[in-house]
Amino acid sequence: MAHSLSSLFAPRIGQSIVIAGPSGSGKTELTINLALSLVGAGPSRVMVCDLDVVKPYFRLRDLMRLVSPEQARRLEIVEPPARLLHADLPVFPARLHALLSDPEAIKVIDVGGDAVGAGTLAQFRGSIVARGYGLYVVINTLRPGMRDATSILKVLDNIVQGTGLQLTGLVANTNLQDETTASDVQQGFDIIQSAGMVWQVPVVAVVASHEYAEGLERQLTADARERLAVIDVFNRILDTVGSQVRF
Amino acid sequence: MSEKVLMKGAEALAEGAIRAGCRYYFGYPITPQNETPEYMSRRMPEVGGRFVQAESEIASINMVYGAACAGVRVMTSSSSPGISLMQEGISYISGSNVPCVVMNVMRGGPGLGNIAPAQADYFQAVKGGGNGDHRRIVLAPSSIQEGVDLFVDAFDLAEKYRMVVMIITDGLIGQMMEPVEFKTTVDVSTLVTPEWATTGRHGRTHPNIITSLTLDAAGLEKWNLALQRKYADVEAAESRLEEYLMDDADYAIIAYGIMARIAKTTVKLAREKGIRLGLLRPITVWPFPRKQIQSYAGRLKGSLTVELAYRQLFEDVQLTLCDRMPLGWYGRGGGVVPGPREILQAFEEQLLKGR
Repeated sequence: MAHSLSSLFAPRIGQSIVIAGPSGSGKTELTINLALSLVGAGPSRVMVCDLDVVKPYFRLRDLMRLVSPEQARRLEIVEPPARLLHADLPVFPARLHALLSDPEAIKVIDVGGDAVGAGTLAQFRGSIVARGYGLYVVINTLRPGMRDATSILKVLDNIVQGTGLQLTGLVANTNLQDETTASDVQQGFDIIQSAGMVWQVPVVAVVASHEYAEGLERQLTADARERLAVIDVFNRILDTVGSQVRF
Repeated sequence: MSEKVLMKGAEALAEGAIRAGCRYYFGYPITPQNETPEYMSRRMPEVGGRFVQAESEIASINMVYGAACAGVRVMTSSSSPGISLMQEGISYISGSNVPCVVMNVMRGGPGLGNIAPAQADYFQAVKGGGNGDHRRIVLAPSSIQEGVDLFVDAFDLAEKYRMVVMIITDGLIGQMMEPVEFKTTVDVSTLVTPEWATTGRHGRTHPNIITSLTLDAAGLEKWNLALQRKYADVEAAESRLEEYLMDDADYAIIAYGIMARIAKTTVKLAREKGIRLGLLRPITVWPFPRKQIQSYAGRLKGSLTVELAYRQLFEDVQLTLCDRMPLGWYGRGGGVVPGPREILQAFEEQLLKGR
């Protein structure tokens, strides 16, 4: 049976979960799914902070329509004001320090743009460290230049240096969208796990979307299977520019 | 593991250009194609190429002009307002008879507009732009994979005809992610420097001089007539059209690029309702696949042109089909992308009602 992201990450109340990774590795998808999983799992408030300054095409606000009214009361989206969302400017919301210091909420922080993007997080480091955090790096080994542990280790170095935070774990998100096979997922997990061993950090989750998750579980090794979480993929480009949500 | 990789459009198109033998890229960042120069800045040094982030789009296109005169595979890319700035250079390159590739990842306009997808630079690419009588071959891929594959053709065509080839795409293809594979890699060591290139005299009796300046009127007319003969050759040989479910079609949607892809779903929806709808997709929008589309006159009960612009592609459809069938049109602008059901509704309202 696949696991929920909330149980795989199991954050404490007040903690920040920092999601980083190379461009296009699936940070925002993971952030949305983790936030929805956390808000569905417990009574705690969940704050989603969009600190990805390099993806002006997407916005997180759309995910509010996916939750129940009761969950919506406990889910807070922290992102730039609506009129600046697609302004193609690196704008952070006001009050961010105060929000990140909130002891009552779990914060899921989406940090974009490789090491350069991760560097933007450094100014908030104090607030994040004070309440405790986990830094997780999402990897898709089927993105260009991500096929081996050596390349992944370079990315991890850059992100840890850029954020000034300590690495907690890795998330395996190897996929080719609906063309993904079980062996893609398994091989991706193996490569990411071997990179994690160098840093002595675990792969905390293997994520697979509904598009290819069916029957996946029994084809994975026990190691990968016990970390498997099935996620929803939200077509954010079309949410933003499409006159209909679904084509 | 599969040979495919998951890439964002703007990255994949950059890699496609490199696989097609492009070794010189000059550009200036603009959303929604920033991933192209970013990717080029990383990859060009790895493949022995050159990347320069110029101080402006005007500088970029003139750097392209210079490299094109040296006979190398060179390109630039930008998005709508940036392409506007390049028009003078594109005219000079056309007037000088040298090859290059220019990619426009179109966004909402006019003016600064926004960063959302659009197809409103059709006139600029196909008919307008810079001064003087010149044409560009304009390729319009409808997926990331097709864009990657078309890059090889783009450089081949540019060199064959010594002219500018434009690839027009949009913010949706530029920003979406899809699995892609790179089927062809051009071995750049096999590329021959053309004899007209300005790379030194090498013992020739006279120097190669490339210019778009011809002071005497008769001389410039002669030059123009040579260009016109070249453009006629291109029109005769290079137009491309995809015909999708057209064998038994009563009606056709005419669309290119991302809109053609969305319209394919409309075609399927219509067929589920028993309407025999097909799709005509120009892959080259210049030369416009006029003859191929005209061959449907008399066979179809009507067509609906669909675009992310206001009656630009439609103008070419009108010139092609005149009054030889009922012509409907549906378009959206400013970065809004219609879905297949809206297109179907427009089709039913304009072509089925009262018939």
